[in-house]
Amino acid sequence: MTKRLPETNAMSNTRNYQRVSQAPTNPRTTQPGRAFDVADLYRGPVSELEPAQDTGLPLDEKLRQAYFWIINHAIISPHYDIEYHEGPSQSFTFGDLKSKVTLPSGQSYSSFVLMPLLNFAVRKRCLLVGGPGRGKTASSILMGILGGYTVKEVKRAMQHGQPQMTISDLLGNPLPADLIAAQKMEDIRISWRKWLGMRIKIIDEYNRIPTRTQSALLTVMGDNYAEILNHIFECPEAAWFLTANDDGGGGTYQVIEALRDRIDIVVKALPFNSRFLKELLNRIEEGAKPEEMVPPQIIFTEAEIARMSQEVLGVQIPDAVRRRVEFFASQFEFCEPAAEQIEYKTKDTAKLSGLDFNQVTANDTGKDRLKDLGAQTKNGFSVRALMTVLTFSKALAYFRGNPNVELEDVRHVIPFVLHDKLQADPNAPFFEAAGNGIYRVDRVGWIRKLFDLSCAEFDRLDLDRTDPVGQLGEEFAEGLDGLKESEARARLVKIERILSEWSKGRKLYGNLYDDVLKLKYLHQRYTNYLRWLKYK
Amino acid sequence: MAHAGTQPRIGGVLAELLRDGRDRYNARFIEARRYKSKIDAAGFSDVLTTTIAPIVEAVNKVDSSKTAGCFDALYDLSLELLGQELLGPRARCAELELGWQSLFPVLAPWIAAEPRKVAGSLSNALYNLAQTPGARADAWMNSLARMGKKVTDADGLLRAGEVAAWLAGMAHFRNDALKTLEQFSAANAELACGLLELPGADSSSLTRVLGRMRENPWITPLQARDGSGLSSSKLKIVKRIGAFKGFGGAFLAPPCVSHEHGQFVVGDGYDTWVLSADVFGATLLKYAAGKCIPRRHATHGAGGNLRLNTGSGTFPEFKSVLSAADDGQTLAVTVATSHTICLLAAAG
Repeated sequence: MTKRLPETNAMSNTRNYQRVSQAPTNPRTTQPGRAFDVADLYRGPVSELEPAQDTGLPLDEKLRQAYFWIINHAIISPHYDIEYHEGPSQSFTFGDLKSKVTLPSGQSYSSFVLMPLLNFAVRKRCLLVGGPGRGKTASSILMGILGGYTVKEVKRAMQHGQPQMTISDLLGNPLPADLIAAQKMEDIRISWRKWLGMRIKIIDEYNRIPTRTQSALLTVMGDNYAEILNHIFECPEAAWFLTANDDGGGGTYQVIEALRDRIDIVVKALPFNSRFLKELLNRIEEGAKPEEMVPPQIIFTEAEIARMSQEVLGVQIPDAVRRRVEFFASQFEFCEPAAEQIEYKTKDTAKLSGLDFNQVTANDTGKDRLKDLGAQTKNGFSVRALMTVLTFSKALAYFRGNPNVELEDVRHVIPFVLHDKLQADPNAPFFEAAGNGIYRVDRVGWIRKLFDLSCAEFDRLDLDRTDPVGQLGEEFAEGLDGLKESEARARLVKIERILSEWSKGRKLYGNLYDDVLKLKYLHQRYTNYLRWLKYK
Repeated sequence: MAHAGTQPRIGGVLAELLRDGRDRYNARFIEARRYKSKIDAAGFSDVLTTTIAPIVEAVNKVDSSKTAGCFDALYDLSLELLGQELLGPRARCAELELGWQSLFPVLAPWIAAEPRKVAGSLSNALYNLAQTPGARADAWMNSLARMGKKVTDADGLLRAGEVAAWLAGMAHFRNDALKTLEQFSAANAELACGLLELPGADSSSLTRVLGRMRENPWITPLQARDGSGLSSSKLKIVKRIGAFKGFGGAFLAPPCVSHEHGQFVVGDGYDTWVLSADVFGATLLKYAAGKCIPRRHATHGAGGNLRLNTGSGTFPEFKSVLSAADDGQTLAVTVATSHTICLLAAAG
């Protein structure tokens, strides 16, 4: 993995849109005793004599070059909301609400450009939300061009949500002549829409697609195939970019929950900074279209995208980081009053009961509802969401040129992944506390705060060093082959002792709930093993 | 892009290409102009019609399937050069523009094959030739125009260009150029002969010619072929190089010369150069480090008597020598009253 390069805003000489960030060349000097190189004849004002080709540049480096090109030339997004710090950084507060401005000491990024690019790399589904005219569609088109398509191809293949959109509009039509002449379904040929076969799929204003057509879209998004009259079109692996003006699922049509759930990451379009109006003016006057000027060096082939996805998956998540993600994820699903059986004590059970959520959780007494992170949400998050967190954390680490995921990477990714997935309970006491009212509005900030609080609790409990469940899990992971009966029994006793200790007056919070279930799982596995040993 | 009223219209193949890629080409022009204020629409139109159009037509005649790709590369290349005022109405390198207009159409097959590499390399070469005092860019262009039909690929053309540059006065390329000629003489004797302007020579005689030229930098290819002027008892001035900076030369003060690390090193007390010279030309190129230490030549006699190998002579102008050095074939001498370096050899 290559090291992260410093951001270079300077482009060399001419053709700056075509020139990606590069190190400056060193001037040549003659050395005593050396013959002249006749190749000097062809060195001069024209550089890059060989056509731009894939020179085997590492793909993470290419991805960074793409990011900096977009930031410097295409999308005016002077935001650094993905902050990294290397050492102390200065911050300033403004106004009565003590609005904080931090000057990051490390290389930082704009989420509006970075997150779609990471989505491009890992081929997931990204929803861009924000007011009209903020660059959501423009950003999506750029991703299409980075994927190797021409501007024309991208624009023509883009699906525009509108109330009259039918399944045929979306997927294709049977050939009319075949419809009439066919004796059986197999004889009907389907004219599939071209976009189905593309590796970058763009759905503009997806919340204006009628509900019925949304279901057809769901099949493509979720299962990667399209079906018409028993004919199947298998779509290739693709990165999806959807846009919507309203991320609440409103619009002309309500977005069906299953479709919303298929979205992996939600990115807000940040507002235009008026101090950059001159740049806009230049573009208007010159008729500049950045999508027409994408340098070939940052365009990815199909093979490169596939390889890049594999490389992203190869980034490691250290145990210390994984444990914190586990701890964080465990906070939210548990709902003690939802059921009698321990396994059913979840918010899902409460939701499926149809009862008012607050009515159910009102019975949850005894716990510190301010401290309990789970009390802030109406749901937990799914396996799919967890996998997306892990994938995008790897993608961010990959983008930064690191072989391992850092905790900061996870911290930055989580709010965008869980943006639509974690539902806040606005009545939770947390939001009533002084200074926390803002988190009712700022979902990204709220999720980040949740993660910070979770990590703080993790450190307070010293779980890096004191993790009996983790130790038992590692023991179990070594396998049962050759495990003696006495040892298995000893482990059973250990599990029972831990549960006994915990049950003495300890409140059952979300993380403890997951640990209890894990211990029950291990207990059951050893019990089955002992039965098998006896049988044997 | 707006066209000035008096400018010729773009037509033919070029017009078609511009029409088909209008958005793309306009975008690239806008982008280039944004970062190089010297680019203007009228100047670029001029370049398109007078410089690029003939090349595109020539390429189209050779291989129409390559026309679009070739134009694409030339379009970007010409914007680069226009931005540096090396093409167009304000071109400060007449040789480069002349090369585009007169040489490139002749080399259309090779430009079609690898447009950016060939056109870019030749542009750089023209620029370097123009910047090197004493180098003859017109001779280089003529040579390349002749050799265009004799090479077998684009790389061959560029290598022929290296040899032609040496023969056009870039003496510092001598060693590499001779190596290239030796390789050509084995693989493409006609090309090597053409470069040396040796009618009817074959591979074996070429080997002899090149061997003699390698031994004696002051004989021409014809002399090397005929065996004339290979040695002489008479030392004579074969070249003078350098002048006062105020008169367009390089030196602020009368220079001194020495021979170090296999090269002539020249210094005027302010700067230092490497001097390369042979029958085709002489060049002074900046030297990285070190000072030139004047040395009195061991074979100097009094009264301007100089000797080098088998040659000797009396030169009244060298009665009082500031510095002298030799490499076994050439004697370089300077005097305190002149900014010129005299090169002497035992030439026939």
